[in-house]
Amino acid sequence: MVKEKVEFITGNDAVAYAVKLARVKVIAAYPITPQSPVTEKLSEYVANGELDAEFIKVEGEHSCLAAMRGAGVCGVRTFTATCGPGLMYAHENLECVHRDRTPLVIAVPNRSYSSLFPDYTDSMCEATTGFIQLFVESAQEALDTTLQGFRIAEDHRVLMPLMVLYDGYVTSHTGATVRLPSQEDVDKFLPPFKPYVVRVDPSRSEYIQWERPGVPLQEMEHEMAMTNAKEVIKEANEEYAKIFGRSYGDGLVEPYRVEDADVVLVTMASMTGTARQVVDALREKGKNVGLLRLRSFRPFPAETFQELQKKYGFRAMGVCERDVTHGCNYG
Amino acid sequence: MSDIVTTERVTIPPTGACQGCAMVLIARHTLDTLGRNSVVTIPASCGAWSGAMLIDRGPTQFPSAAAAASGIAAGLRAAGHKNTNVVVIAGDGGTYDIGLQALSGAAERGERIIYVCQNNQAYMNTGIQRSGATPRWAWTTTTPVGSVQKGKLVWPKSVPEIMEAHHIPLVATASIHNIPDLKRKVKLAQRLTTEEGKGLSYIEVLNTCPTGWRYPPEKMITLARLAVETGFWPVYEIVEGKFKLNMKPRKLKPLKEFIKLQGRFRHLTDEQIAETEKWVHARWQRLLERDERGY
Repeated sequence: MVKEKVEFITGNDAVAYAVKLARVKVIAAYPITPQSPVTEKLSEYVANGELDAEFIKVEGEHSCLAAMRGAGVCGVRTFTATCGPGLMYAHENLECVHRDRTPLVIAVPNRSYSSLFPDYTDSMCEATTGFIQLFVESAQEALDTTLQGFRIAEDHRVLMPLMVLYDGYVTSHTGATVRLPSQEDVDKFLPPFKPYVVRVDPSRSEYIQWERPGVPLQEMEHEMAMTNAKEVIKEANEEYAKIFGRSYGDGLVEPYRVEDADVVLVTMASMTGTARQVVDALREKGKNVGLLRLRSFRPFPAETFQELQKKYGFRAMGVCERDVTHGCNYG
Repeated sequence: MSDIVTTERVTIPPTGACQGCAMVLIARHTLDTLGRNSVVTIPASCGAWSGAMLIDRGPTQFPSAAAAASGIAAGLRAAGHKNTNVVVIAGDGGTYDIGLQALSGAAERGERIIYVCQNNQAYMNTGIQRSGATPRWAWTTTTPVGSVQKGKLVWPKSVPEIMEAHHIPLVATASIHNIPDLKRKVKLAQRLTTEEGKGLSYIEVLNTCPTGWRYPPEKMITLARLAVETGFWPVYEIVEGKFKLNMKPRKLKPLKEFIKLQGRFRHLTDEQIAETEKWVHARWQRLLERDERGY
């Protein structure tokens, strides 16, 4: 029987709580709306001695990701949070993290870079940086996915960095009832990080010259890791459900009322709540509609969509997006 | 001689540097002095050609050396390594220009980093483009000697003075013609930064560059010495607020002796040399006064 307490907290606070439970060793962060409460909450945890971590209060997101790379290669669990313009400012170093094969977890309350409001332009711009991207619907899922995120990213079949993406304000700043797991149960689900190799280790008696293979071979390795990640995301979802009783579809895609559906709507993150109501209303009117929530944007589970289509036989999918690429049919 | 020769070496020849490049000496004597319990990070710079080393190198991008080193220092502490030297060897581009924000942030945070800037006064590794450290009038590929504009039009900035404003335990300059002085300063940095944890130490060494300065390789040490003797490169230290001029020639040599050996200054008029000398002497005077005061 798991020990959980229920509190009414925001998505940002839920993420910060998960980071504490994950016993993260090094944090670097720079404030940006709507992420700042994560940075503030973690500062409090460290200041109060509730979290024994090094916290680098960096002078910008570019440096933040550089610091996270530096800490990552020392073989310790690392975390940061940023969004919107901050995520984009960090791009140069963001791109390098997966080449280090260090399992950094970043929380991203999505925000447009041209306004304060939530859209996915920031995270879509970084979809090519080798990060696993899990879009979550609620504060509860943000907490659960942050814990799962460390386990997925640190799995030796994966060793790729991971973003937990939730909607700015809608999820980051809105209070919700969240079940908070106990430290004891989390320790069972998420043991201390065991690195596959430690690249920077001054206690090593022999010097090892790190030779990465050439770029094409490296990219093939990263692709294999991303392919493995699909299975590992599913496993983490299942294992989490066994301990805490909560799961999100198969971890990659969460279907809703797709049985006998003629058409389905494809959504991501918090818009799914509204979409579910619409599906319910249309079902009441006798229309055969359903819903697929895409949770794992990277790796992209194309075969899961194909399997679901074969299984349920829906004829069309309508995709609801929250970003725009100009000159490219809006998608 | 025991001060110069280190028995346990960290750097392994050969290097990929140009003949007559001082960076090799700076990297070698810094890292050999600090020993095996060190981690170094080197941003894009001539330092990338330092050759093999018996210590681990941390990753960094061009603008991020001091930030990456901050992360390495934190990561090492979190992993249980308490007394490891975390070293940055960066060029003037990665220090004066694109890396200044990260360096300033790290200094203000009191990061335990030994930051060595090997200043060759331009982007030499990229093909001799001007930097914030390039002297006035100097030729570079982006300050060409044209019919209207000849060389760099503005004075260089002084990052050691900027670093001093961060109230860090050690700010020092050094020259490769005086290796014992450089090694002493590196040891001082090790004590203040790594052992006593007082914050970031900043050491800037003039890196004479045959390729960019346009001089024959065998003149490396001669030029480094002349830079100090003419007042062009003052060698001083500020240890926990105490100022000391380390090399004080009784009378400065004419700047022309330093300038005439280098192709990058070949187009200079006598008036421009005189104006540069005036600038150099004014700075020297200020430093003499500080040396007198002791702060």
